[in-house]
Amino acid sequence: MFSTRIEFCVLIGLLDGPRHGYGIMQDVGEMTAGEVRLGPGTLYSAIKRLLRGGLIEECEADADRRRCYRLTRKGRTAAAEEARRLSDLVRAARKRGLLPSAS
Amino acid sequence: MTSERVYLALLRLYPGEFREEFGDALLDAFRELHRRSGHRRIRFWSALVADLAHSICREWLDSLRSARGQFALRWVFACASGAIVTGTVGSALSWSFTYFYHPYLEGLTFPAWGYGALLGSGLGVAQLAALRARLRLGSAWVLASAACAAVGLEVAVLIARSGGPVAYGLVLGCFIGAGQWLVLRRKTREAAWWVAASIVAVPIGIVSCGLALNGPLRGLNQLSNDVLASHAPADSGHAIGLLSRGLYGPTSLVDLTVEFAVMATAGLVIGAVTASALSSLMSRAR
Repeated sequence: MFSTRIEFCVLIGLLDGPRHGYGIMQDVGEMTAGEVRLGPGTLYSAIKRLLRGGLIEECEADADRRRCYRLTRKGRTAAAEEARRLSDLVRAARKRGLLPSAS
Repeated sequence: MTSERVYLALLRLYPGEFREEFGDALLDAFRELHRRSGHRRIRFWSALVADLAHSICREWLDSLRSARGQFALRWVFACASGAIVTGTVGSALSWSFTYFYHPYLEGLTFPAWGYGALLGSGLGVAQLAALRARLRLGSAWVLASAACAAVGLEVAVLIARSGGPVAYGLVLGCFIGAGQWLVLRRKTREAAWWVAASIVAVPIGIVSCGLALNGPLRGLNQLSNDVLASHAPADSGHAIGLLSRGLYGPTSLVDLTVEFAVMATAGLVIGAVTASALSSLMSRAR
């Protein structure tokens, strides 16, 4: 459905509602504690692929006339599936002692 | 403002389609980032350049994988094949004349228009094959290419004596472009741009193959190269007495390899320069 961690980060960044490009970059930076820093080029490359895949869509521009994007139903489902997959992997890693137990 | 101009210039490195769709949004994001970067300019620009380099490569790869990109690759390959076939046939003719030389043939020359017709036919047939799936141009494309390249080469050879390889390329490009425009205009609007694309592409192709192999003009037309180098009698009225003397036929495997490389380079460059113009014209096909 989507191929990179960046695209997953963008989908997660849009879960709280529509955002413009710069807003997504900031959200992703905060969400990953600065580990993933999106530049404009990387961000819009990811946005292009997500738009083509129908995972996000453009919505009305904000007050500053910046283009905004929001998740589609398909995008939300894809993000949930990916989160579940990652969560299963983390659980498996815990079970094998790679990570400390959650409890 | 200077920073913005630099960024705008860098945005031109993206494929046109991506730039048209996201250019403004990229610039907005840049302005915001730049405003908030404060005095950390070096860090800001190094991150930005890394981001651009990564995404530009990715977008070009995406673009080559798209249908438009696939067509462009086919077109570039067709132009290179056409040029290589021309070189091969020209060399074969030259070699046969040397091999089967007979005194009766003394004084026989291979006129520039003959080589031009060969070049036009070679390119025309290969290009027609690449275009077939998207535009039905028929044999008129090959005939127009051959006829105009024949006339164009005669004129180009005369002009090149004083104007050098660029003038030669401009004239040849103008004639080939005009001939193909006659056919193309029935299929697409704004076909006149094709002449401009051809006028730009052919000199670049000739000069770049010359630069690549240190032998301007050798390759696309080794016959006229003879004239420029004053190896042939200037009053012959023909490009060269190549076939009558067999001077420039490939005499070794190295010669043949160099000629193939030169023709392929010229064809690839001409194809690459004209591909984007052609894609854009085809999107306006009637």
